[in-house]
Amino acid sequence: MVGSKKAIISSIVMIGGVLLFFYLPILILMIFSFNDSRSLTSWAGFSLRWYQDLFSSRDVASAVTTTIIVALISTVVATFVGTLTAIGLSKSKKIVKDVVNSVNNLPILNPEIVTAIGMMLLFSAMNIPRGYITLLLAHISFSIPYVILTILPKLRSLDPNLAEAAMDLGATPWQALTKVIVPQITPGILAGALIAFTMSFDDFVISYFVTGAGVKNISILVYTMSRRINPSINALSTLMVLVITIVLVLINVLPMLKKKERMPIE
Amino acid sequence: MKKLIEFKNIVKGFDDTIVLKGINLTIHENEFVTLLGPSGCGKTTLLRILGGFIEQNNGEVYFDGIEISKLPPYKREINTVFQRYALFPHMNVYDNIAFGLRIKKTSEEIIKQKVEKMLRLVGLVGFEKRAVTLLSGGQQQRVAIARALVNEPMVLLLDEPLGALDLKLRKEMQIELKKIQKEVGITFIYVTHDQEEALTMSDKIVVMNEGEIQQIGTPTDIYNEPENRFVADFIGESNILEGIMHDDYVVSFDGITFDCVDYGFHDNEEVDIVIRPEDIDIVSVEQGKIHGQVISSLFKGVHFEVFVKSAHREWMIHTTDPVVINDQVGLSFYPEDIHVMSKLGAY
Amino acid sequence: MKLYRSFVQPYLFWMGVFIVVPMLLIVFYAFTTSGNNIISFRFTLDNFIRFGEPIFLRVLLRSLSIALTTTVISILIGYPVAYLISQSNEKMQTLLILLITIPMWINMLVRTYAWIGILSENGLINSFLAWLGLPTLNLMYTDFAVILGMVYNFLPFMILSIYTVLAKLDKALIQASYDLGANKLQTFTKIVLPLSVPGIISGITLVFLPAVSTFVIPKFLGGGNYVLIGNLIETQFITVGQWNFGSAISMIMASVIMLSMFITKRFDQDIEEMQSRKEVG
Repeated sequence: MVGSKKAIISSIVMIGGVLLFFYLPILILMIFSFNDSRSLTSWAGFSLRWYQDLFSSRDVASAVTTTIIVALISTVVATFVGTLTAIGLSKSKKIVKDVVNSVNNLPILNPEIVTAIGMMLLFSAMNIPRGYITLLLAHISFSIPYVILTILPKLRSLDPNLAEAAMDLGATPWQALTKVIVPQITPGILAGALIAFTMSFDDFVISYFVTGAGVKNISILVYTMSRRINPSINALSTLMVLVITIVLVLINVLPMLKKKERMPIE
Repeated sequence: MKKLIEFKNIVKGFDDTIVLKGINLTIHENEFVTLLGPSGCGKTTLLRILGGFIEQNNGEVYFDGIEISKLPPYKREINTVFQRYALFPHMNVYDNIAFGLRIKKTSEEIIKQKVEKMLRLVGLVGFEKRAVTLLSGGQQQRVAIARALVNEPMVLLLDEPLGALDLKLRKEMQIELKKIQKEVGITFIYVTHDQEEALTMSDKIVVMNEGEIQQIGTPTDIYNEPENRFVADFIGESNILEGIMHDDYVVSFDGITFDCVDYGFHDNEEVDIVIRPEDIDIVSVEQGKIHGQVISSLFKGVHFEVFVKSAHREWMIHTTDPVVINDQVGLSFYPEDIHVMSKLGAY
Repeated sequence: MKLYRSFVQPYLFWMGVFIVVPMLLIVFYAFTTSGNNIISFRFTLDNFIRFGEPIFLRVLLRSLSIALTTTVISILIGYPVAYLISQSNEKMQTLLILLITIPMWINMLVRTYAWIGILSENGLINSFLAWLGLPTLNLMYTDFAVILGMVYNFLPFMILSIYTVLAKLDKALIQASYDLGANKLQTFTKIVLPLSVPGIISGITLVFLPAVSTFVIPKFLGGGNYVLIGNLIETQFITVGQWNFGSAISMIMASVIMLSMFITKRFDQDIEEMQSRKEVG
């Protein structure tokens, strides 16, 4: 269809405007992380002092460590449990499937703050003091539903007779699982693990309510530091943005590099 | 018959491929024309150019004497039945059919009359309030036809509309469509890759391949007098072979000379020859011009499909007489069954 | 497949403890009093009655109106953007969607914090205005700042929800509409818009819900005295220690959310029913 020049210009303006709206604040944030003064508005010169502050701060180091360790552990546990549960669910009766799906939907549909205070009440009732353990348990809890949600569709698309075919050929149920089913759904498992890791790494609300004894993750650190204008946050944020961008670029570029490898060299 | 549509030298390319290589075609009022060809031959592209959904790179399209290339689809007096019907899922049958009339701001009383008339025509009376997503394939198809025809276009374009239906339904719909065309009295331009469908319904068939028209003619013309190897191969079953045209009415192949009914070729010109399986009789070895051994015989209901291996090739024969495998037999046919085509033949 | 079925059991137990029980506890706390002391408690509606006080109702109303405003603005900006993206060529679409998605990966706290430096009294905007010789604006700690922060955080969700539906729209439907005589505007209002409503609705869900319940954005951009329901709940649990009242507020908020989702879904269904029951005249 022939599009008028006016229409094209106005769409560029609109989309460009929205993209500018999204990226400008972040860019400003990143630029001022290199500012040689505490101000967030007047430029005093290029400096890496806030980054130095960041790297020498024990608080930051411990928050980063906590975030990573909690994310790793909760991802491993959630992926393992989620995968097994999804496999079990795919062979279960409809009632079981319905119940699990409905209950799983609760933390996903509920506002985060409701899930958070529920957890807080739970840990208090169970008499578990808030800290590292509660943080971990909470992260595992909210990750598993997402893992299950990611893997179930992959399982559904599999041939229902796959496991039986394997056993027909002599495999034990466990072997059928590990040699036939799991390899087929590996992309789903990896996707689920990625989602679990991201949700845990980025979490604020639930972590904020269930943690205690000074255990902080990166988000909580940013929250407490934000009480005062502190360019160290800018520095921390810039690093986070860089890491995410690099990861996203890698995810998109690596598959293309692999393709090039497979092409014959003339 | 009056000329209605003229394509003049239509060229169209997508990315690196040229899909239409210079199409010249005239279509008349009240004709049932079929664009026939394999996937990728350009038939749907040509249709969509006429409908106004794509623009050609070169060439002109004349509709009732006026060049319409710059006209958007909603200003052309042409309506389309889409391949997967494209019924509006959020409207019921009545509203789907009434859509075009409502755009034209026709009064609701007149709309009611016209929609009811259409529903009678396609056999869906009583379906007015049904949800279109719940209808069967055949019913959806008929709603699509009604929705297009109610606007009383001068031309109806049909893009492989019967593809999604099962065989029996398809054959019924073929007859229905032909009936509707005769009743309504407008031009139908039909696109399909199914040659049997084309032969059944059309007044005129345009055979296309790789962006070029191979042959235009009535079903009997195309079937009996294919102009080149492609058309011969695409339409009906054939035995296609190479031979030499020695002189008018004389051709030779497989080392034997035959009388035939074709003429106008150069002396000793290399030609393509087609002989239809149903034109060959299986006779005794002495009576046959060609000899061979029966290697297979499949019962197809209406006839046996028999393969006979001669010294030079395998022949396909359709016969109602049973044969015995491994028998030595003779093949016989009349001079008028030998169709000679020029090797260079493109329309 | 008995072995496989047994795989579900450990998680059934976990689910019960970590998902179901907390919900029940919230209900329990909401209807009782005496805080942590589970031994001596009594059932009461006091917590809910307390919420009826004007000061708290005002908080609820403010949260709803802010969330509503945010949602409406997100639709007004999000729909055209989603539509324009869906109309561009495939490569452009992938690129644009990627560009829209990337900010979503950045921590919400960071994204909200970014606006403090821009909106505050000595912030970028005011410095720019001062440099031009214009009077400064009081942007921070206002409704405007909070709504801006919410739109900034949640707009991508609206865009993606609507885009997903628009991108999947069968192009043949648009061509059929043109074929039947409708021009571009008519095709948009009669065909594209009605069929994209599911996308708008899921977008509303993704924007309204977090907008009603968030406490970070009002805290950063609204200041200490700016209280929305999320802040209220946070204070009850973290600062004041009134878990019963806090639970009651959570239940009220959850009910309000469920009610609004219900209304939205009914609205969607009513539209569908209206269309199929249209008078045949």
